Amino acid sequence: MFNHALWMKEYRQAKPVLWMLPVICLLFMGVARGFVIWNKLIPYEGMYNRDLTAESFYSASYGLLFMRNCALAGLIVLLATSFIGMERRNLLNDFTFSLPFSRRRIFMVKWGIGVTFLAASLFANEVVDALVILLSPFSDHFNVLYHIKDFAFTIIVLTGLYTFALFVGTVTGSAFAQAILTAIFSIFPVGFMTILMFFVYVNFRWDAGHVFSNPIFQVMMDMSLFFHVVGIREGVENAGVYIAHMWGPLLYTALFLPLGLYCYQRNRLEYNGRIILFRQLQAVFKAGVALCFALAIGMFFTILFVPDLDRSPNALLLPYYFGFIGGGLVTLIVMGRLMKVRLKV
Amino acid sequence: MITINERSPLPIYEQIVQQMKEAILKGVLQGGEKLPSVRELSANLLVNPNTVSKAYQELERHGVIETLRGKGTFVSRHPVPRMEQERLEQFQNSLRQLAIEAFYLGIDAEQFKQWVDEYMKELGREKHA
Amino acid sequence: MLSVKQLSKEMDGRPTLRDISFEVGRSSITGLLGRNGAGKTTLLRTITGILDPEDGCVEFEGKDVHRTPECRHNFVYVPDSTEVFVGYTPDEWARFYAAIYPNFDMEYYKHLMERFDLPRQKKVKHFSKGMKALTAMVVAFSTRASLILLDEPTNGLDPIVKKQVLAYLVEEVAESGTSLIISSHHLEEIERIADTVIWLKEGRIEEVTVLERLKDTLHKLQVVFKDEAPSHLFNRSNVKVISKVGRVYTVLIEEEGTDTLRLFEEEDPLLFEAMPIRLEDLFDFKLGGERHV
Repeated sequence: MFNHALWMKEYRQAKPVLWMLPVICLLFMGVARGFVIWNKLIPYEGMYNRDLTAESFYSASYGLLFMRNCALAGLIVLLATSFIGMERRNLLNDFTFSLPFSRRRIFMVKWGIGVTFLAASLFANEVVDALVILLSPFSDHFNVLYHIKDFAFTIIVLTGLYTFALFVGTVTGSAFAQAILTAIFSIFPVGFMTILMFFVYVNFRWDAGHVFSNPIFQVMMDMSLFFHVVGIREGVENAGVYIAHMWGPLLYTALFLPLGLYCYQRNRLEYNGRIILFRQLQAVFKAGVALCFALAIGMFFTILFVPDLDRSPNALLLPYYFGFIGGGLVTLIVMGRLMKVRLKV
Repeated sequence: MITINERSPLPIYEQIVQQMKEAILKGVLQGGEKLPSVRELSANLLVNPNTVSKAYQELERHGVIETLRGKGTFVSRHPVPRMEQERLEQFQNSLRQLAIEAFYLGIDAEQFKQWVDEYMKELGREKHA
Repeated sequence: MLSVKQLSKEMDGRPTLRDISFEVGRSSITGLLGRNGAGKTTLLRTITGILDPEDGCVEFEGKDVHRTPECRHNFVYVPDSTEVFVGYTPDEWARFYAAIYPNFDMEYYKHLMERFDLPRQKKVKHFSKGMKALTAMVVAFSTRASLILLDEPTNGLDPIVKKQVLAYLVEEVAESGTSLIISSHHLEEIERIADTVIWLKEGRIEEVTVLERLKDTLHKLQVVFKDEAPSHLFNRSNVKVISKVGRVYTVLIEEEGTDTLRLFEEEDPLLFEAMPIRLEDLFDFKLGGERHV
């Protein structure tokens, strides 16, 4: 595992992206914190002659943390494409597979390097952030638990996303497909639930009530990495309530690491450039996409043509199935063409 | 010194053997002189080293060259013409072919023998030059 | 040393390699010849473990190359393009290989770079094509691997560099007992330096030729007959007419001993001339057929 040649090769391959991780963290944590403190909070206290609570102090940087998470998420997906998708482009994939290392080991090193850099970047920057706070006039508001929670949750979510993105890389044939599909699937659970619920509503008239209050919806949100990335908002007071939601990203890591290993071992380089690598999966993918589009277009047409969804029950069916069947067929045809395409990137 | 003729019907190793023998006979290579190693010769001629190796082995069997361990390969100091049965048969066969050819060309036995004499004399003369 | 056993591969539903079996021993040079698209590069990539076979296996020193990737540390594949390492300097490339291949000889690498007059600290992307090809070979040979697979190593090289490369290849084999598998279009080179030639046609091994015995088993003849050409002779399976100009037939005959040759002679031809055999003739004989590009 620790043959340094492999680590060296992978490191060199993704060096710029790897080093962006700590840089982004630094910008959106320590530096931003300093900026907020000196340019906002101190004048604020001076202006309103009021002392901030610890809660307000930490929440002043939430916007920046949100941006950090989005940037890190984007970077981590980019990293995953640097390791897998982009290799498929030229002879690099040939070279990697010709090395005297098992594909399992190669995959594990790719995963390991990403996670290590991520963890190290976050950790180092939590320390820097803490120092910035401690050296500022707000040092008494410093809350160690907050930083620990931020570190833990962010690591878990981003590792889940990274693992998933790597897995998507092992089943797609290009960096472009890898990135797009990762993005789509990070919202997929919620999106799918929405169109499925609409299907149920139109066909069985069962109103599941307001979407957001439905408990299933909560589960779906937890399974969608997108919402984790944008949604982690831990207050100082909340003693780790968000932990309950962590099962989603943890599941992603636990599930897609072994799956990724399995698929990588069976990769067939002759299909590089295709959207989906494995022949067996191609049919499933095609059918799945067609189904989703059918459901979505059905929903779209219904909403478009029926002004009041509560009224005419049967009038909903016509536009719905028009969209469903029409949209489904068109998608099948388009997908048929698309699956045969070989992308250069 | 040695040129490989790709168009020759002879396999490469035989060409090497023949040309080596000729070079030694003519005196271009002298007794005791060091020959290029298998590696050097194969790189020079751009020929597979196993082929060169085979040629050298045959030359050694014929007593034309000898290998001194650790020192290299040299032209035999005292080339002993060895009368191996098999090679004698081969030689006689070739001679017979030549005789047939001579007949069809209209060369008579006298002329044939005269030429043989001349060539033997030439070689013998050069050798002791 | 290397055993390829009934290797079969499919791509896009079409078979690209069919039941390929052959052996490569120590200290030998094996040429891999075939027309474009015959499967040479696919074969090399499958042997190296880059592609997975449908059937059959590749064994290096007794170990399956696909199941035990670790056994690859003693053979190296040199593809016909160096694009993977363009951003490296030769030294970095060498250090990298040194970390992967346990027998890498840094001193030997330095010696070779000096011999071929190649800069060690300049990025490879600035090299000319010939220099790139040479550097790739130097690094590969510095690993002291016992088997090196080269895909079209002299492609696009000028004649001087080509000669240098070929001389070097031959020297290495003579000196270190390394074995080479060279896929190439350049028949003249293969003819000179290979021991064995494997002919690939549409993914199948058409023939394995041991070059030394080529001139014993294949004969090229120019014949002219007084009257009708004896079609029963031409129709024999080991006879192929490669050209007919007027009444002059150029014929290839494959056999040991001279039975068919004698039969031709007995037909009392006006012209009966044995011509030297070139590998090109064999290429035509075995792989010719469809005149497609």
